[in-house]
Amino acid sequence: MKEKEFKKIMTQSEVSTSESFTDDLLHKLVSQPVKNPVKIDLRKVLLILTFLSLILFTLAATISLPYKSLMDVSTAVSRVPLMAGILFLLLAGLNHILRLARKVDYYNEVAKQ
Amino acid sequence: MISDSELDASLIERVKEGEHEAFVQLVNKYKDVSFSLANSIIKDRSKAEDVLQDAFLKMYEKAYTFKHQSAFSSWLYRIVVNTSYNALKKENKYNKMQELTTELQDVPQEVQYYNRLWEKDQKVYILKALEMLKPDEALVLRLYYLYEHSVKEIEDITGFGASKIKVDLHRGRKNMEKALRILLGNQIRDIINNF
Repeated sequence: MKEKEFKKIMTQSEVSTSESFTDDLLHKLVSQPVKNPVKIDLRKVLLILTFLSLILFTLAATISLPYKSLMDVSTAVSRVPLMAGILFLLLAGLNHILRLARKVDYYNEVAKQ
Repeated sequence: MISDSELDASLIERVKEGEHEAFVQLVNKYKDVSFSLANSIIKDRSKAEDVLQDAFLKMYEKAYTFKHQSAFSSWLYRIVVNTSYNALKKENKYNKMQELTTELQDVPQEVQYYNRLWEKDQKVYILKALEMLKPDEALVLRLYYLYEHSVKEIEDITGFGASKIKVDLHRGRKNMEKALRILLGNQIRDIINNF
């Protein structure tokens, strides 16, 4: 069978829903109200977090926070541990957000059922 | 004049706000195409309608996730296709169907019945032949030949790779012709000539 002939045959293959399809669907929609899903815009949260971490990194890299006097004991805070601390906080924050997003997905699944 | 995609975009934005009227407009616009796709997979009209209703409800719930990065129709068809495959897998029919349709050698009982209907409705034969195909093949054939989607668009809708789509198109055509020959015998020429 040629491609053209086959295409002509396939044009006859569309099927239509029953007449009451839309009414039944609306009835379902109204009788089983869909709960508003919790929305978290992960992209926005990540952008804000990245922006904040950049500021913190810049601060840590440029502004010196070398000495802090505490009870007459001078403590030196060098840049490397400071950056490591910020990185740790950033990763912990990311982990928290991802866990939260997973919980939200789970909640939405349960809400649907 | 507002374009088709602009109209869809405005309707889906209204659906996001919870407007039922916009939802109905989208349903009425896409229900037949979506039903054909669901029916390609489910192969049972009444069950396909139930699955399609679930798919539309899912579309309503997930409307807020639509970011206009693709055409609304592709996004909706993807939901329909995924919901249909999930329903099929739930019934555990998918594997059975794959086995049953691998060889189109057994002539079903309905053939006698359909032969009597020959002059009345050719469409019945075509739909019956499509039902005899694997879900993947029937789906890809409809998307490509009936709705004239490109291979790239079919990739987006089904999640299949380009090579699988091409293989399904090739095998689907061969199997469709085979199924029509089983159903119609030499009368297959009549069906071609009638178009």
